[in-house]
Amino acid sequence: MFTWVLYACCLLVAVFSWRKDKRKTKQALIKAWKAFENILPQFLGVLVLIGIMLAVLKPETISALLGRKSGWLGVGLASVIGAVTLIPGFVAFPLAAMLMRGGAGAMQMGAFVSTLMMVGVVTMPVEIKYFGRRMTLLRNGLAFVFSFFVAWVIGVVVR
Amino acid sequence: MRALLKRYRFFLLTLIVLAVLYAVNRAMGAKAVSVIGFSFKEMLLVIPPIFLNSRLKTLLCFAISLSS
Repeated sequence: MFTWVLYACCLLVAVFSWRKDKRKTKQALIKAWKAFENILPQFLGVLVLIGIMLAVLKPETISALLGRKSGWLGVGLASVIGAVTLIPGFVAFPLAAMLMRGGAGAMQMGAFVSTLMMVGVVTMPVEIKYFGRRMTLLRNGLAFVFSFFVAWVIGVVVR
Repeated sequence: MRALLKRYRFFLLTLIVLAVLYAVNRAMGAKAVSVIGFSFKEMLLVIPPIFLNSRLKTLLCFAISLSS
């Protein structure tokens, strides 16, 4: 259902855009494809890796490590995993959904997604180059702490 | 060809791991394949309009600002 609405909206704006400017619409299509092709290798790899992980790890193992009952320890673990891995956002969200279906808790996944997006250990050298060491460490550190706050809020809201 | 191989080496590596898993434990391998198949299908359905929309959005804003 959601998918159909998404496609309908997309088609609508595409037709509208086409009628406004054919050349630019074509450009947009090409750019969309390029952006997709750009993340395709990473995307496919992560997909297969998660499939393997979900098959090897039993739901009980996942929920013991990251489940609702794992509490703040699970949140901490999820935060660290999120901080050191580099996954694009639209892969991260379905991934979190899959893990939740596999037995992970909402709080833990909230922390995972938020450190995944905000804390980048792998990208730190690049960040230091642009923003300086102090700023980078401060930003990443604060983001890491903030993700615990996010987990707490999600823990209160999602039951 | 070589660049392509390099770009997709992470994906290829995971495929090799999957093949090894299937060889070692049939049931686990089959489960992994079914999980991958399911999520792949789901994402293929959702991703194209998102990408297209993100590109078209800027274009659309421009068009609206022109027409008004």
